[in-house]
Amino acid sequence: MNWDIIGQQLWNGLLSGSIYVIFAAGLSLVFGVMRVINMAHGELTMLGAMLLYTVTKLVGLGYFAGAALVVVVMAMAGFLVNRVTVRPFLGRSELVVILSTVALSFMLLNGSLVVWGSTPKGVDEPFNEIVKLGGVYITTAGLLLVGVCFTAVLALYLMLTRTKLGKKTRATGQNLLGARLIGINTTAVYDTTLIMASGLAALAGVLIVLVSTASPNLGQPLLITGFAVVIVAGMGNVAGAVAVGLFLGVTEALFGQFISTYYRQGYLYVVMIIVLLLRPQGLFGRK
Amino acid sequence: MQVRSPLRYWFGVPVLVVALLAPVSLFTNSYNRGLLVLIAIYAVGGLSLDYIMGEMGQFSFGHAAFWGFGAYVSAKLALDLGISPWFGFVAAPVAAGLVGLLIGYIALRRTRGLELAIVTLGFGVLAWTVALRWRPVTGGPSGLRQIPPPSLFGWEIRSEMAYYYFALILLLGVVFILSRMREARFGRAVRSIHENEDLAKSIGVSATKYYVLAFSFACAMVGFSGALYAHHFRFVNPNLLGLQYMFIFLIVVLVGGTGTLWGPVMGSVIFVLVSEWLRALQEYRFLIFGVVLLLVVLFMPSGVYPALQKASGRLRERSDSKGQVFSGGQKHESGGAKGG
Amino acid sequence: MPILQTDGLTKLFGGLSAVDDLDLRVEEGEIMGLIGPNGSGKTTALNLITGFIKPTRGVVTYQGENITGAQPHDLARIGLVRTFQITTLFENLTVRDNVLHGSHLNNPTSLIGSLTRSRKYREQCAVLEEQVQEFLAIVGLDGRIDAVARDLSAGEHRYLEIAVALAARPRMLMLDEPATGLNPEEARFLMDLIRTLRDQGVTVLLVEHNMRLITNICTRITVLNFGAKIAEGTPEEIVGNEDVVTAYLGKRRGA
Repeated sequence: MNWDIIGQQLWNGLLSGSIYVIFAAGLSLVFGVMRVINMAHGELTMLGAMLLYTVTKLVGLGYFAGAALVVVVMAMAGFLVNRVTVRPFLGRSELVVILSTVALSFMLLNGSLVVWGSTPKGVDEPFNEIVKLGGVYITTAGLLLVGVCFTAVLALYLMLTRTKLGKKTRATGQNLLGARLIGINTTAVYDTTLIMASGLAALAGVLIVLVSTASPNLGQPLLITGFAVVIVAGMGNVAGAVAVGLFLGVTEALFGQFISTYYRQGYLYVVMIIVLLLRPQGLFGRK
Repeated sequence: MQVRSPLRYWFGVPVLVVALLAPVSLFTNSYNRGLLVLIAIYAVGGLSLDYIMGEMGQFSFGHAAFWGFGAYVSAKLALDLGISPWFGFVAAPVAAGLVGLLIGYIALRRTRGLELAIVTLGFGVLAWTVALRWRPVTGGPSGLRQIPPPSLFGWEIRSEMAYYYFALILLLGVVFILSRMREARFGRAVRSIHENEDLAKSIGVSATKYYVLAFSFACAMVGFSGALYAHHFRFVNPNLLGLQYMFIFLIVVLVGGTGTLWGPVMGSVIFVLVSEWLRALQEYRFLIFGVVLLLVVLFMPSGVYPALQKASGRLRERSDSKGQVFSGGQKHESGGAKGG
Repeated sequence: MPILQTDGLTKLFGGLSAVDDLDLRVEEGEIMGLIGPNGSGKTTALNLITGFIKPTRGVVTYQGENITGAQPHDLARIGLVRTFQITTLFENLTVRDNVLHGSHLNNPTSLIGSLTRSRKYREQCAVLEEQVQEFLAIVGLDGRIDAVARDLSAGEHRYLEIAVALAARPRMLMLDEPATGLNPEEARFLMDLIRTLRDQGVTVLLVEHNMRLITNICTRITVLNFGAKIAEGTPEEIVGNEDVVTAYLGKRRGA
């Protein structure tokens, strides 16, 4: 057994797992609080990456300034996402929101294809030295990615558990009517939830370009991976999504290395289906 | 006991006349006749998706996967085993129905609504991955080519006109079966679960059994549509199982109007014709369809067909509840509290 | 032998017992009352018996058969039918369709028959239609057959709910607070209706928190408080029972 290869795949898995974590956390947050499946979540990440490409390559901002700008702008856009595709449908069937967010995702995807074309675009990382740790090659950009992801997830966790807004958010998620009765402005909670989620999605986007390229087509596969993570974890369970995202990222890399590169994509769905068969409510879900 | 809507017949006759005359009057070259075939194929696909949306009040993101699956099954049988496409038109829905039975059984025991939508998305993407990767069987990304058309007494139905009439007959058959199913015991059981699952159970309807069967039925229907596609366009590729066709079926159902039977047929006509009209716009097309879908969901939740019914002034009071997307079922703000 | 019997029926919700060691006996042909203050576990007991939730412990026996944990639709098949505390109908459908849906178990039509509309199918439909009319006549809704359920008044809602349940041909009918939201006149009609059903051979378990309402139609009454049985007997015995009075009025301070 070659430990260097295992170590390398663990690192690679950590990189993709970090992206899954931050992506699935946002997806799960929206579902947990609003019972909304945001089909446009992947396109928000894609927009994050494409906008970063635009502001760095075409406007000339540096990576950090550009990334900060993009995340803030995209977070604000989350407000619009709520007002246009979610809020008009509250009180109607839950399934309608799937349709409106599907429509939004198709607008964003095809709009981006029109604007940027389908060729992948590279973005310059702020630094990218290669460090050799034992037999494992690690890039500093990758370290940045992992660090930012876990800082963001920690911040989300602290926000949800320690702040007043977080308590309101969780209360709304547990019982919308009850939250209203005790005077919580649930409209504001919904707005902020989508603002946070879409900020997280865009953050995933600006981080992806550290290890990969930006392309209008990156949203859909990521969305589907995100759903696999969320289903395995249990829908709406943010902490579970973090654990499962990391686990699936790492095991997927190992699967790709040792079992089959070719069917690597299928690994996540097979895990998902096995979990569904044995525990339909997800690993961390309650009945 | 059947409440007959005079409207259906009132609309039906002229529409049928137009449908029959279309390939000899308006759509005279073979390209345009191909559009007519596409209308019929998408209409069957839309009707099957609407069986899940309108009759079951559920949503499946894996529906296009069953469409593509039906297409591959029929194509494989004809290409590898030399089996007649006529058999494929039977085998494809049977195969899709059986897989639908299995997946429905896994998914519908516990999940409904949003959860079901996501679970079926997972299955759909898995199917797509397999179609893309299992090269020896599926031909990989380039798919399968030179699928034979069906032949009748040794005469291949190659011309668009013949295939159109063939597909039209099948479409009408599907509409007929669906309309009769509504008043059948089976259809009533499905509808009762949609309207109120707890009540349905308490009067003896096995919710899981009927939902699994209904899901399988819808899968069979869309598998049939897929086989029609395969033998007309004579190639299949993994895209057929993907989200783009899912999106097309959604537009067909929502623009036409869900739960209305003729809605998806009308939606298919509108989609194919508008799509053709916008063909010059290339990549802008799906952007425009995205906008259209959002506007429809926002401002015309019942779709075009019910809107026309309303305009005709003969709308019965009972039908206005049917048109709404996902009427009944789980609501966003329902408390569902049961005291005691 | 009682038609329905529970032994040690218990449901714990996170350590708290919603129903606690309940022994219930319902004799064939009687109207049995299950009463108790709000939150005393009546609806939970009903949900346990009808299979909507699974008991933590205990056994439910119906006609000598152990039905603990059976599915609601299987229970309906053997004649055990319930209604819900919050009136539950197919709100978007007509009164006729509601009852026709309710006839699921007695609908003899085949799929082939409904596709071909064969003579046999049409005859079966005519019989079904007749039965629908009968059920609606029993509950006094024969004049409203084409109305949409959600347009009905609160009273009519309840009557239709009972007609839907009747269409499933129950041997035993369990009604969950059927008089809630009804005015006195409607409530009286409902009680007469329940008596009529009993006279036709349907055993009734009537869950209610309004004691006055059911003392004059029930043969026996079981009283629940905090999930446990605190009294059982004829209406006269129950009305005079001190525990019951305390449970309903609360303990006097300092007494």
